[in-house]
Amino acid sequence: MGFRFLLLPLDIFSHRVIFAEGATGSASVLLACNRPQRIGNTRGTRALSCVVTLLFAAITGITSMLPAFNVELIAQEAELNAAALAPREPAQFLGVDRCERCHQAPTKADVDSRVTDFVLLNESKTWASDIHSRAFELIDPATSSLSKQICDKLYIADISQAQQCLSCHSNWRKGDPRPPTYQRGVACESCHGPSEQWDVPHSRADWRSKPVAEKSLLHMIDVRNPVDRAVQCFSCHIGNVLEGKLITHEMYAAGHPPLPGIEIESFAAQMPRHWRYLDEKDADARASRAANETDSLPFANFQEFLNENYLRFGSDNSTELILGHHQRSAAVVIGGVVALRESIELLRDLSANNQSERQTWPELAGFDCRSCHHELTTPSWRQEQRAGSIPGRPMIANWPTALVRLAVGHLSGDPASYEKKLAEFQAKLTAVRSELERSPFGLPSRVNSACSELSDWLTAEVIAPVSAKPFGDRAVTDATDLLIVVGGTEHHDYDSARQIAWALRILSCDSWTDSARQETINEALAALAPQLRLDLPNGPAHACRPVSAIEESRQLTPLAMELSKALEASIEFDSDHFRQQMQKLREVLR
Amino acid sequence: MAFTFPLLGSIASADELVSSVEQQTLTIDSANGLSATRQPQNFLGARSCAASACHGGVDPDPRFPLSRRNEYVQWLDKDPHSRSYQTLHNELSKAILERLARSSDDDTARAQRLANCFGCHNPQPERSRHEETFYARDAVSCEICHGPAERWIGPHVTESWPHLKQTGDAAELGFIGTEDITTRAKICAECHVGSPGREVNHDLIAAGHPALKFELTAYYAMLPKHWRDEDERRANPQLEIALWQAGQVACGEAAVELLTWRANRVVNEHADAIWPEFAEYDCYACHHELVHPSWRQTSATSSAPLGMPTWGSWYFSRWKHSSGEGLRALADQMQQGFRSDPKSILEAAKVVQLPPPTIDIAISESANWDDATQQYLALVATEQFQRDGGTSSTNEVMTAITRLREQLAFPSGHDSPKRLFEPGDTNVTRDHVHQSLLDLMQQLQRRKEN
Repeated sequence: MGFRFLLLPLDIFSHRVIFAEGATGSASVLLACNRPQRIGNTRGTRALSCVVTLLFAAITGITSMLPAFNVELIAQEAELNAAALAPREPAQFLGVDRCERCHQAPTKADVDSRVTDFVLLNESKTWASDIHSRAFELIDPATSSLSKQICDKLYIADISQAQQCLSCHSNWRKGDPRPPTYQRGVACESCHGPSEQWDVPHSRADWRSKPVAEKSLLHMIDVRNPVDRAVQCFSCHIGNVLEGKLITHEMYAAGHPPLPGIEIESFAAQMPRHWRYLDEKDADARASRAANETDSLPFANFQEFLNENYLRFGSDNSTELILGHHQRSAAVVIGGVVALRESIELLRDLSANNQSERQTWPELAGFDCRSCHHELTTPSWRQEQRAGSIPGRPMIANWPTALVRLAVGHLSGDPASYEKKLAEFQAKLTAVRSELERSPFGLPSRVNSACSELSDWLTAEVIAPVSAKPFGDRAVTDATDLLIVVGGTEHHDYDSARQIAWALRILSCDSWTDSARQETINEALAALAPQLRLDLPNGPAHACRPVSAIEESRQLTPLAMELSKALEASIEFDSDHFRQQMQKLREVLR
Repeated sequence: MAFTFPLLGSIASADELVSSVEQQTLTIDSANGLSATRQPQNFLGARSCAASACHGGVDPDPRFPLSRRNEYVQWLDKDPHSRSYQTLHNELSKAILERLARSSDDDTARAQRLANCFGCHNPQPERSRHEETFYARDAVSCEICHGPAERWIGPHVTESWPHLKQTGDAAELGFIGTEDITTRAKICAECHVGSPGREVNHDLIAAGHPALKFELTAYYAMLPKHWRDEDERRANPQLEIALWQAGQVACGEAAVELLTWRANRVVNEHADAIWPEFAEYDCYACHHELVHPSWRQTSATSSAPLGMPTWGSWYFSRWKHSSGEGLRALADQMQQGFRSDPKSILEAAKVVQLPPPTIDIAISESANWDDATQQYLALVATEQFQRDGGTSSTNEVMTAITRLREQLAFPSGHDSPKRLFEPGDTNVTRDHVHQSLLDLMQQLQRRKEN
């Protein structure tokens, strides 16, 4: 293997930058040593800034090739090697261009050496056609009239300095410095974590078999973990007070489009795919091994990788079990609960924040938009159907509760334990609702504690156990059946109906064992797709296994253009029709 | 002063309520004001007035200049006020009570809820010294507007009655002189706007009760008159203007009094009383579908901060340009957020002054449906005033009125101006309504000059 080291110009934050081609393959690695800056980790406490140290990718042959002033780094590396990977807080964003050096396109050497068995190395290129990459660009007031209107109303003179907007439009979290490549929108580090400390080590071959805990100490986010991934997506798509990711009611009133209810796996499935699913990796690796009849391949340590990085289902952690686990269906089920927890935590944090600053409670954005925003009619289904609740009191959105039952079902072995667990859940949820109804918007301190209770319960009693339970063929069938029953027996608003339809669509993808059944469900969903707008704007067409859609010249439509149609669809939504369709589906499947 | 109401226990319907009259009593304090003169023991019931030789004749008797002598029959037969008690028995009322019971269902809460219903739908205290003559289902009958009659029923048939009215002795006896326009307006506002202990709040509206949007001249025009309206208009060509002004002031004052009562309840009685009270705000600021583009986001006519509904959009619309500082300050307090401090509200409400607004205001861009409709009603009152003054009705004016009414009307099945002002619909955008208001104003101007 050859080694090349290049010195690159400093960027304004860096003391020195080294461009290295690592020893473990030809993947390029960009090293940086930045000056200390305050930065937070994703969720927890914030630590003091610390002395910047550097990790090195190159293992051997470095010393002789380094300029004299980097002697210090060598010393630090030795120190670090001794202390293993020492985590530090805060961690910094290095910027998109750093990632692009390796992840734009695999070189011939990458392919030849089968690095691509493990990692596609064209992620950045795929990302260019993902609307996330234009999250900042599309809200430029110079080109977007909606953005101009919003900025004018909110007195935002310079959007590039508006943390409250950039928090989601380029992942500028509260308290952090602005990401260096904020103009590139929501990019690599927004989801994978600030890369300062893992940028170098992650290019080593041994990285993939390191324990997840070790990686996360260096602030890499484990996106293979459905809970962590969902939390990351929901921090913007639902909101996160601590990270400053919050669309206030004032912003909505100024014109920010309402956030649609999100089903994690469906939204992910309509991103141009820059990743491979586990079984695909396995298949690729196996094919590669078969062709070369050699074990000295980068992905030979597949089992080790699974053990350390993938799902841990107790003692039974066999490859067969893991590969038989329906990863995407499980993500739907887990994501459904995490969505509720994150919504509840949003409300919890909004109400907590306001014990000292009471004037900002209630933050209307924590409530269901359509609680108030609807035309008044006689007769009114709201008055007919909300038995048990107090008319006229704003309520939280329903959609995050739509899929919780799937997790409860997956955890319960029999109908009795299902009913018991469900009742437990409903009691906790009702406690939150009652607090919100006690007086209009509720008393913040009481809302806060009811939310804490529900969120803790969801974490301990649902999210943790359901993440540790394999999701096999039978689980897919059971969840599908349950979903169809729920869809056909209750009143669902537009956003909840979408949750159900989206979840069904993913579950149906995993229903390999019965193709006739799969087809029947797909037909029903296809009929519902237009009215529920199941296909997202700017996404590739729905497919169970979407290929990486790389369209370099792809024209992305600002979501504002779709807004009037999207709002219209929710107004026109016919709840009874949806319920009937689900009932019909149930009949046919029977 | 105190109203007495039966303690209702587990009573869920008005029927049960009536049968339980004999049980216990619950005292609900009422504020000072007109209601203070209504001492419970003084009510006699409508039947006391209904003798055929008194007010219970079948047809108006032209021989008597002051009284038509068939007031009771006119009221009983034509006036919806006579059926306000029956209303409590219809399906909607039952559904409303059932929905309200979802919030708190203990005896006190029920009793208060029903007392609130009865406060307007059957306002006589249930227990009277004259139980044998008192008819519990009297609804809004004679004495509700004219005062409890026990002490003046005798004197008012004597020759000295006009004199007693002049000297104020009649008022001492509990008689309410409805000759005075301001008094009339205040009586109506007690229920039609609300008053302490009698409110249509957002809970009640959400349960199915229509929202109150009272404008005196509009309701006055619809009321079957049991007095000689034509004679009064002939004698006083300014009547319609006086009614409009008195109505605006009485409604505004009643609204401030009601707000004060609501805020006071939170500050001095129980901290978890309803606050904020959504019924204080523009209904359609929140109650509209979310659409894009939206005039609410692109126009700057709202006086409220971004994302807050306008407070008092209906009752204070006519002071929006010329308000005294007091009203502006109160509005700012109410609109600064939903957790506005009720104590400051109490302070701000104390200094509100509502001088009679002038009716011939220039048409201005409507901030909302309430504002547009108040402008429309002011123009309609002006039209009536012109006709009272001898101007004959013209087609152009009637066409302009009809067009506006159609534009402002809620679509069938709706209780909100669906899509009003939204772009896309043919003739109900904000600009169209504004144009129609201008047209009508110009028509009236022209007619006045001719």
